[in-house]
Amino acid sequence: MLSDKSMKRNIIALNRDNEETVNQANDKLGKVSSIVSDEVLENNLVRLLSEFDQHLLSLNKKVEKEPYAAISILLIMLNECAEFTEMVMKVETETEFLANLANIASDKYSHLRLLHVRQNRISDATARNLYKGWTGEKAERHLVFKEISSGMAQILMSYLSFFSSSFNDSNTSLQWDDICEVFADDLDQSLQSLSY
Amino acid sequence: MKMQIAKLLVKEDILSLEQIKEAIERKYNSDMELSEALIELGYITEPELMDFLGKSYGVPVISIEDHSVDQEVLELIPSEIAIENRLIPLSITGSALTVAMSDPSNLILVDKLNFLTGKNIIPVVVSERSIIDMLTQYYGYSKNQTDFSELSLKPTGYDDIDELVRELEVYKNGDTSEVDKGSNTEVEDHTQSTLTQESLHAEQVESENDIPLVSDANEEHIDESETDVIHHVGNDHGIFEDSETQDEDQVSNESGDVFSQNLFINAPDNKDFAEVSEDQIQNGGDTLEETNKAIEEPVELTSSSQGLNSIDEPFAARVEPEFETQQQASTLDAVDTNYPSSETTPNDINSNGINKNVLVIDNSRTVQKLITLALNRQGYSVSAVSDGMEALSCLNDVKPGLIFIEINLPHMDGYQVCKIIKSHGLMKQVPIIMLSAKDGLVDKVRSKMAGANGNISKPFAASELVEAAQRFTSSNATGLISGQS
Repeated sequence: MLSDKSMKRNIIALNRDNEETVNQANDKLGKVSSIVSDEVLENNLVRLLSEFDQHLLSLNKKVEKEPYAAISILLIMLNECAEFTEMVMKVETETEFLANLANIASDKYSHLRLLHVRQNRISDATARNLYKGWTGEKAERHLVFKEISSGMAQILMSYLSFFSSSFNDSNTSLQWDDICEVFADDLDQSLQSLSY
Repeated sequence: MKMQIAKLLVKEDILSLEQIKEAIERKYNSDMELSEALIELGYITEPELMDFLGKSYGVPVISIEDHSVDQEVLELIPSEIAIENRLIPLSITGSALTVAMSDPSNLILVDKLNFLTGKNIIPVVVSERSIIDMLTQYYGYSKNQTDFSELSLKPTGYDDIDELVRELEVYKNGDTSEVDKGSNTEVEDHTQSTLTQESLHAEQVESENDIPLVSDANEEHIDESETDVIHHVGNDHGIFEDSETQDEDQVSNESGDVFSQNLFINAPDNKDFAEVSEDQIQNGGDTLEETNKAIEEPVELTSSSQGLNSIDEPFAARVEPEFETQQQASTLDAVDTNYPSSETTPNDINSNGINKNVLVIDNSRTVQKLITLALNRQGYSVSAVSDGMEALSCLNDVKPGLIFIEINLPHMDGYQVCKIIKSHGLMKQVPIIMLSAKDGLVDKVRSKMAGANGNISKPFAASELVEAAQRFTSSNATGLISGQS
C-alpha cells in the first residue's frame, strides 16, 4: 500500500476531485512497488530522468521548426513512464494506470481525449491528424494543443510523483520530490514558450 | 600594450626611458592603456606604433574601419574575454579565425583563443581606438565596464609602477639577469623577453668583438641563457601540452605565422628549442619572427606525426608530468597556484588519500541534481555549475578530485573547457569525464583529444556515475589517467 503522504501528493498533483480512481490505481501499483528496493528504483530513476532531460533538450530544439514535435516528445516520455512501471516496478500491463491517469486529467484538459490509450501505451494518431489537417483559426489550434500538452505534462508529473513516493525511505522520497520539482519547472518553462 | 612592447620601443631607441616612464604614470593616473598614453603625449603616432608592432611580431597591420562582423563570428569569443583582452574576431576562413588585437605580443592569449574557439587564430594588428569602437558596437563595451579580471585569459600584469620602471631601467642597462630575477610577470612576456635579450646580447657581443660567439668569455653566459630559455619554454610546454591533441586541421595548419607562434610556445621537445636558441645566438640574434621560423620545422614534424597518431593512443595517455612548476599556474588567474596545497582541508582528501570533491559542469539543473544525489550517496561532495566560465572561476574553491563536463555548454563547449582545465599545470592531473548524449566515435575521439579521461553517455544510470567516480578517484587513479580507462 502507498502511504497517505504519497496518495496525497498524487491528489495534489492532479488537482481534481475524483480521488477514488487515483487511489485505486496507486493501491494496485503500491503493492507491487514495495518489493522494489530503493537502490534499484533510484538507479533506474536516475536513468529515466537523465533521459527525460535529453528529451527536454530536443523539445527545446525542435519545436521552433516543428511545433507538433512537442506533443510527440511528451508522448514518448509518458510511454517511457508506463514502461518504467512495468519493467522496474513490475506492474502488470493490465493495470491500465496510464489510462486511469489520462481519464482523470481529461476532466480538466478535455482535449486529452484526442489521445488514445491502449495496453498501457498512449498514441497520438488522432491528435496528429487533427493538427496536420487543421482548417480552422491558428489561434484556436494553439489553444487546443496547448491544452493537450499541459494535460500530458500533468500526467507525467503524476507519474514522477508516484515514483518518488514509492521509496521506502522517506528522506529519499523527499530528495526525489525535489529533483522532480526541478524537472517539472524546466518542463513547464519549455511548454510555456510553445506556439502551435 | 604590455611591457614587452615598451621594452622593444626603448631597445629600438624609438622612445626614451623617460618618455616611457611618463607614459606609464599617465596610464595609471588616467586609467588608459600605455599605447593611448604614448600617443596622447605625442611621443608616437598611432600608425607608427602599429607599424612597429606589425614588424616586430610579424603580423599584418590592417584597418578595420567600416568592417562589419558576422554574428556567427562574434559568438565564437565571449564578450567578457573580448573586452578584457581588447580583441575582436573579424572573420572565419575555413578553420582559421582572424582576430584583431592591439597587442600581438601575447602568444599565450593566441593559444588560449585557439583552444577556446577550436580555430586557428590569425592575429592582425589594429589600432586600440578601432578595437574599442568595435567592442562598443558589437559587445556593448563601455569605459566603465565591469571588471572581468577573474575571467581574463591574460596573466597578471604589472601593478607596481616602481617595479615596472626599475625593470625598464635594468633592461635598458642590459642587466638581463636582474630582469629575470625581479620579474614576476607573465610567462610569455618572460619567454620573449629572455629571447630578445639573448639576441640583443649576442648582437652586442658580436658587433663589439666582431667574432662569432664562441669565446670563453661568453660561453658561460650562453649556457646560462640556454638554461633560462629551456626553463621558460618548459613551463610553456606544460601549459600547452594539448598541442599534440589538437584537431587534425590544426596540425595541418595553413597559417604559418600563427602556427609558428603556437609552436614557439608548444615546442614539445626542449632539446630542439635549446638547439635553436643556441643557433640563434650564434647567428648573432634574429627577430622573434625569424626565431619562430627557425624552430618551426623540427617541431612541425613532431607535431604532425604525434597529432595524428594520438587518436590511436590509449585514452588520456598524454598527460605529461614534465615542467610542473608554479609558473604554469599564472595562465589561469582564478586557479590556486598551490593546488593541491596545504590549504586543502582534511575533508578534501579522505584517510585513503582520495579527493572526493567532484565538480559537475552541466547547464541542466536536473542533471546537476541527479549526479549530486547519486554521488552524495557514496560520500562524494559535489559542486555543480552551469557553464565553463563559472567552472574555471570556482576550481580554486572546489579543489576537485574529479570533474564531469557536459559537452554542450553555453559560451564554450565542454571540449574547450576540458582543454583549458587540462592546460593548467596543476589541474591537469584531475580526471575529467565528458557527459554527452553523443556516443559516436568522433565525439569520443574529440573528448580524448581534449584531454578527457573518460566518457559517459546520457542517459546514464546512477551506478555508471558511481562506478566512474570510484575508478577515477581511487588511489590508483594515476594508472587510469595514463590510459587504462
